Amino acid sequence: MPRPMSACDLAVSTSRRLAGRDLVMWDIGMIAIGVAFFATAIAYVKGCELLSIKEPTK
Amino acid sequence: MSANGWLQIGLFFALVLVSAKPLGVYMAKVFGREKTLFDVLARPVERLIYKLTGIDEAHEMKWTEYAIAMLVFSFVTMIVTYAIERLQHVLPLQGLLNPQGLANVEPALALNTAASFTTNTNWQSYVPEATMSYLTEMVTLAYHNFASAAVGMALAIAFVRGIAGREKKTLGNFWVDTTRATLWVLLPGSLILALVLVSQGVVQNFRPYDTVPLMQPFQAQVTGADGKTTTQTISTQTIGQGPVASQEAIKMLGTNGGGFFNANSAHPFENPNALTNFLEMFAIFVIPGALTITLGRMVKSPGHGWAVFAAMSALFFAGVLVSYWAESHGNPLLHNVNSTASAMQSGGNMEGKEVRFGIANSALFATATTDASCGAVNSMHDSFTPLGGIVPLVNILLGEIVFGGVGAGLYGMLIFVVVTVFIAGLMVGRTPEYLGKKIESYDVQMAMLYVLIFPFSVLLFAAVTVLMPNLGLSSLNNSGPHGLSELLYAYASATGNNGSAFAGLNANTHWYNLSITVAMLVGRFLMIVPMLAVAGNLAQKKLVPPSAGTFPVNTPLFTVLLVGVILIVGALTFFPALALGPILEHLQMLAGVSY
Repeated sequence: MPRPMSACDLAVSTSRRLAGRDLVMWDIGMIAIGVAFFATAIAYVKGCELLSIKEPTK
Repeated sequence: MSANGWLQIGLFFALVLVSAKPLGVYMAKVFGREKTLFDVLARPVERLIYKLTGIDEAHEMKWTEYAIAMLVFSFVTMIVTYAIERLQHVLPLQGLLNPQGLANVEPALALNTAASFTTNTNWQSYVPEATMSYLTEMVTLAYHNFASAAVGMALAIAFVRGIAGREKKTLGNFWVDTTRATLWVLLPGSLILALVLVSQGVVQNFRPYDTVPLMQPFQAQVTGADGKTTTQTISTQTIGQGPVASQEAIKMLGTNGGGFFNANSAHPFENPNALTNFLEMFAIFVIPGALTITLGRMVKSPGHGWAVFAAMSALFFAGVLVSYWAESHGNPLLHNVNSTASAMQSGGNMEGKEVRFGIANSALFATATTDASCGAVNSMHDSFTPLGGIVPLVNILLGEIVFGGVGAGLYGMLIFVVVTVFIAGLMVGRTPEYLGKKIESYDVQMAMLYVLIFPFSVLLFAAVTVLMPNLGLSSLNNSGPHGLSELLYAYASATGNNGSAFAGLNANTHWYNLSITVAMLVGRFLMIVPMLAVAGNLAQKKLVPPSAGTFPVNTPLFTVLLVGVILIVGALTFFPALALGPILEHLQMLAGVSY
């Protein structure tokens, strides 16, 4: 029995059909760059916030 | 230089000066949620937007929440833009919205463009009229022209609230500030400007491109898809069309700068005459200039707003003076060419200039577009003399705080104000205070993080690119110091979110598309975060009553010190790179060597 199509497979096949060429791996790579940057930026917000917390005086 | 040229420059600045107060006061009312004449139209739309999106307009955000809302908003809109570019050839209504049948945009270029417009940079590694469909131009690029400018204004207002706040933990609401910036300022302003531009001949249509016969056919070497070069007789020309005026208005008013056509504001359909040229330059400065007055009003120190305006004005005039002088004197190596003024041209270095506008308006446009983070051009910066070309480059390298981008210029300048107040405090040996707020170590740490990220990105990417002959240097059209200027300018323009190109560089390669993408994202978002951290920290502080040791920030002395700090920081950081680029090129030009 064939394996049911996962959401990821569906996204890849739909993208291939729409884009009309086999560049889906590039698309995944480009989106990964965007996701990685903005995830880093949100971590950076948290890092800057942590820096503002003053250490308790001994 | 001519009296006529200076008269035009003076008239331009006078209009910016006169409009600053009324617009600045209006924007203070808009962001302070005071009553304005425009409420009757904008308020119902605003309420509807909040109702549809579930935004609670009474909710106040801490700086971290404000920053994360801005990041999430930018990420989502960037990815949607990427998707539309990648699918523009298969989306509906091709006949109307893609009459030229333009193909889907390649992945690296699509990401570069999506990041470019999301960050208000509008760097264009492509020929717009041969790459982007009308749908992509209107739904994604024009949308970002509004959204990125509104985000910039919202962030500047958040910083001002941080200065004005008294023991508060919040900076306002990102969604409300962005919505109000769009509905009350950018939309009405660009609607009026677009109608004026249409009345002057800027096109606004959905027609396919025209093909017209040339009056003088000519022969040219044409390289085909198979790589073979043949000589062909060119007897027709394709003339681009499209919804240009609507894009042009917000392109200038939002200091975005991305042209509908590759020639940008040198194209007669984007900038048909001297009046549109004047209005487009004015549109670059009008909001950033007025925001200084908004600052003065919101912090209840109008004199401080004017002191910041004066510092920006001094740096603006210094830039336009050098640029106009250098271009008027022309290139000494062309001593055999008659470059004196005539009925057809204004004399001096006319290479790369639009003859309709001449040198004064080219120097003024180049200065204004790089003082602000606009990036629109009406002349070719690559063709400027070395000293003429150093002005746009230095303007960007100073952080585009001379009026600056919409919002971004003000918060960039305010970071320099914090640094200036800190240095003034060190000079007299007292704890620095800024409008009654003590500037402490965390504020200075975050301010310096903001200041250092910019040169880190520019110099690192430029250095790495210089070291890669196949990926980096092979894209350059010029060698020597001029080539270095082209490369340095590209990464300065990207990190500074300016978007103008020095030109002479083929940036549509995987290396440039991806490295410039990262530079644009770093220059926008990694600088905004420490800026908001300073704002959030300032907002929490108690007000300290002024004393004999308080450094007043509304005096000429403050303005002079602020200008000095900006120049020293810029000079110390970038002087070595400038010495190897335009300064060396100038000295070699005097010695008879060109590149």
